[in-house]
Amino acid sequence: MLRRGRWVVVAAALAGLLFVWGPSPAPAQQRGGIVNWFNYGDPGRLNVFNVAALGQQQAVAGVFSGLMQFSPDEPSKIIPDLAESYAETDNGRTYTFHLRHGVTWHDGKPFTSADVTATYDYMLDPANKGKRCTALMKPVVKSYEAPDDYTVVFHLKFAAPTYLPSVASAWCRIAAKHILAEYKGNLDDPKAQIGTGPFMLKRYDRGSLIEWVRNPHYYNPKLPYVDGVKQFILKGTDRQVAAAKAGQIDLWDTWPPMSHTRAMEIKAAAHDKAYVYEAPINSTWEVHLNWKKSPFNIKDIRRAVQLGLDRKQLFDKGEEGSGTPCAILDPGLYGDYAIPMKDLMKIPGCREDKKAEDIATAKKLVAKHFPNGVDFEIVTRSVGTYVDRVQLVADQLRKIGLRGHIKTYESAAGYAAYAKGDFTMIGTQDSGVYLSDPEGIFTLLFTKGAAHNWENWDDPTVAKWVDEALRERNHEKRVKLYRRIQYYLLEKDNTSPVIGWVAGWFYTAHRLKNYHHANTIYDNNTFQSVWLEQ
Amino acid sequence: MFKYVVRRLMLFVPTLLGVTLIIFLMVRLVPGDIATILVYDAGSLPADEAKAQVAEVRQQLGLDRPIVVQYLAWLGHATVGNFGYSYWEKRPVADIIGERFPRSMELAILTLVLAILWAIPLGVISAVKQNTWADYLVRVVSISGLSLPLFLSGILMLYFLVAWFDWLPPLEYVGLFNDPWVNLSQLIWPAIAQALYISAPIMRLTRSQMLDVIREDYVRTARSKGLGEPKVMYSHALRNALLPVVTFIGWWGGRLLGGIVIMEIIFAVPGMGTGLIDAVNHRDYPTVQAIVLLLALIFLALNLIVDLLYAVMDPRIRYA
Amino acid sequence: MESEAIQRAAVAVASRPQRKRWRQLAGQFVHDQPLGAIGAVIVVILIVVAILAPWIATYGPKATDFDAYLWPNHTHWFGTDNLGRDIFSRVVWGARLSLYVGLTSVGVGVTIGAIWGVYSAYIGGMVDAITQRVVDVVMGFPPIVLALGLMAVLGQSVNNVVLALVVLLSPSAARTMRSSVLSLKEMTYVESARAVGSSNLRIVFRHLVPNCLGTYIVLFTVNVAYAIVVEAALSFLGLGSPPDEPSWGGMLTGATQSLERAPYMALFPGLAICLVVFGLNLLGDAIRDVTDAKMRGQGGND
Repeated sequence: MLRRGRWVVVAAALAGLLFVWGPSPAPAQQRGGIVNWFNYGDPGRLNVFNVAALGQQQAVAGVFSGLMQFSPDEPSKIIPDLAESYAETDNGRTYTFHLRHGVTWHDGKPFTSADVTATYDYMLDPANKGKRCTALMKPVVKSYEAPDDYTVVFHLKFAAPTYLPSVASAWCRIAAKHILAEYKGNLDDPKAQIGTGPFMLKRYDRGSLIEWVRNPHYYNPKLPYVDGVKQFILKGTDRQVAAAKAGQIDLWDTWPPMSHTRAMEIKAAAHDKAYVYEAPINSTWEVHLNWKKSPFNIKDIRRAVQLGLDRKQLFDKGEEGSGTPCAILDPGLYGDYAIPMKDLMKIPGCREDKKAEDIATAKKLVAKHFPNGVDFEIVTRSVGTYVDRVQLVADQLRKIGLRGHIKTYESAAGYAAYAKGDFTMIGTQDSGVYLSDPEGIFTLLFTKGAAHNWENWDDPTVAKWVDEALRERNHEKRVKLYRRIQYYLLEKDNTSPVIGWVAGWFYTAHRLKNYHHANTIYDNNTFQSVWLEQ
Repeated sequence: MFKYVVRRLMLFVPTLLGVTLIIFLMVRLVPGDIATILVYDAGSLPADEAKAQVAEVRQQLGLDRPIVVQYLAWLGHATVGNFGYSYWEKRPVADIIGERFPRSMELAILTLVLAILWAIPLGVISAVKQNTWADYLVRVVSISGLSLPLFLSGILMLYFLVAWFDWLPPLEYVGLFNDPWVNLSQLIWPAIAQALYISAPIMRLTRSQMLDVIREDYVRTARSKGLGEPKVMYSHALRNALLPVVTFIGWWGGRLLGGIVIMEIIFAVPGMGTGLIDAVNHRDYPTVQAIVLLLALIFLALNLIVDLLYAVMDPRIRYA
Repeated sequence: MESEAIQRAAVAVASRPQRKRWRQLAGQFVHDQPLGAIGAVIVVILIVVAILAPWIATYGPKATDFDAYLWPNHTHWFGTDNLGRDIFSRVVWGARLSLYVGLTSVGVGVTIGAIWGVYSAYIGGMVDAITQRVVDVVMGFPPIVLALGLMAVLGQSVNNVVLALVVLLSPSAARTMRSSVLSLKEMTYVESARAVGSSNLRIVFRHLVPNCLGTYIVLFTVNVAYAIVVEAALSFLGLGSPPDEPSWGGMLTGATQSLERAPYMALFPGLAICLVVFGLNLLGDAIRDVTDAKMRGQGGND
């Protein structure tokens, strides 16, 4: 039995332990400072609703808010933004958003439900094509109304699991009614960048800098912590890496991600003042075969490509090992929607242990139609690591008798050629989904009329299953459907064989706190809750 | 002389017309037009919708008109200094030029001054001391400058600035008149990198011209008259040798402007070069046309000045 | 049969003193122009390597069969690149490609330009005025911009690089040649030849062409080097030869992505470019000096 005195000692010791080992008090968020960030291109156009490359989307990402948002702290969690709360009724076919009171636009005017309806009027107006939010909302939203100044109700055509993620996405931000009216034709104008977001656009010095300053009237008075964000316009990896090494930028979260080599160089140059990490990005890597042109009009040749590509080697050399070979959905990002790695590795064309066998089969398939092999043109856009990758693809195909002669396009010209169907084979292409929902990649690549379905492949089976999955609200059934589609795509002779899901390296400087890598590169670019250690 | 100047000025017109025509056609011959690119910018829009939109945009921008009509309309506006409206940035092209032009000119002039300061004295030394170790050394050094591809010297410059000094010029471009010192710290590096490259041919030409002139009669005469060697070299020989060098530098200015594209990309200078590459990538026809036309105009003006200098400096050339 | 043998013998007899003379000339060249001789050796090595590439290279230039980023070792003398290709083999094959691009583009471009320039300057008048406007028009474009535009229009291939370079080089060659002829044209010996009533062709070929030879050779050497460097710049801008072609410029561009991890990736193609450009320039200078000396001798006889 312990004497009373001893208890005191033990208690004191325990308290001491707790003090030392217990959860240390969260370091106080510090105010002030400027986050130095970069943009890989000059956005030129600023309209936050555009179908836009990341460079444009990130330019004013912190200036606007949406009804909902992906949490800056927990990337997959959807939390309120301009809407304080929402209610889902009618079996998921009606959403009622209760708006925050006392929110003001950057020019001082109050925010009301009229702004929300005006934004949706703008986006769903047939004259305003080319808005990504439009593409997300149009198939789903039937009607909407604003019963009072702080309530908006949306009626959906069917209960779509993608609806709420769309509302929270970076694409469906809310603009002011009076700005929409004033700048109707030209939301690209820097003066039209009046939002409700944590930052205000201070300056757009074209070709050099985009600068945001803290919005003093942000609806959350505690946020943002930093005084401003500077996006330097830095083109080309050489310049970007040099700036990172010299400590001139605080984070790298853009596309393309860094190679492992570069990440390690930056880590070394920053004398460990930077945190480098590997993460999957929101993108598959695939090739495209034009089934209307020889030799890919032959089913066997398409199958040969599926079998003959050594995905692991492609990732090892083309991406320095970053990424998941064969994955149409990344297991890390999509959990049980994705086919688990061990099952993936049993599929012909993906199995490491029977690689030689699959390549021999591919060779035979080609030889059946072209005993002396066949020549064709293989194209790519010269961006990111594409040029490296296409050379690997070409060399692998050469070994099964498909001799691709490489031609590279400058980015925009490439898209133009693809859009016209003017290619035989696209040797490498990333398809970045803009919504962290499993549906994204299928309606981007594999369905009729999909944006990246340049070869216009139309497989009714895929279309049917994708549509079923879009309407399916039961998680188990949805998982089953998506897995079935993935197996089907990997085992058949479809025209966009997927090489795998891309990952890459990123970094944040140690002085930048509370930044969390989002599920897509488009999300969490508002910097509302990061802070800088002074 | 007056008549010659007038004639040369008049020749400017057809040359400029030729330039505008080539610019206009070439921009349109590059695969992928502005409408397609405006629509497919990120490559993610349902295909049928995108196709309809391309036609619509073409019509809006007047690209569905016959090309001759488009050309004449543009030319008409350009002659009164109206370069139109950027399809991409949606603001007057004149604004874009006004922002970017002075920056590039500053870089170009800095580069040229550095190159001349370095190249001409070396060229003269090399010629005067022909086939001595000094000649060999100068030639080897200058040729080394030529041997390094421009982009590589730029990238190496960046690399070593970081590796050795752990420093890079500030990322935010600062204008000459806002803070000349910071401005210089940003532009001096691309200028050095390119000066190293362009000085080599200037030095070589200076050398070869000096060698030519040294052997010519009047230099021999000057020498025989008993004029001291330095005086012969620097007053008689150099003056005559410099003539083709000036021509060369005149048109080399054009090449310089091209190299500046690469330097601006590597060193993130928001000038005409990066502006041009952006505009080309977006097929922003009005901006591309205006920038290239302006570059051409500068170059042609340089040529004109060179020709006039020729007429003034070389009495052997007569103009009928 | 018999006549053939006689012929062969005749050739042998005739060529013997010839060969001796060449040897003498070469000896003199090495003595007078040591830098030029070094240049010549480099250029000869380049040519030999280019011709014998398939036998010298140890592996295929496009084969991505090996581990990536291997440092130089006994099987991969120059190491392997980021895609696992043998750098030595690529550099060797690259000699062939560089020589092809350099020689064809400059050979065609500078020759067209030279003829154009000499002709234009000599004829003068309207012809000169018009052709000079054409030169102005083409040269009004910054060359990289013009090359970029041309490549964008033509599409990426080795032959299109050559074509773009021809368009780029010929006007500037014409301009330089012209100014060179313009000063010669007014010189006393040309004027006297004209006074004696020599035909235009005779004056051009007897007096102008030989005297412009120095300029031509300088142009040629500077431009072969320039062509190789422009090809590299086009590769950097993504519009050069197709990426899997073993072009030194392309290899160098790729290598800048990993300067720190694999400096050898940049070193060998970089060294190759530098050496060749260097050698060409040294050789050109030397030839120029020699022909210059010869020209003076001829001038005296005239």
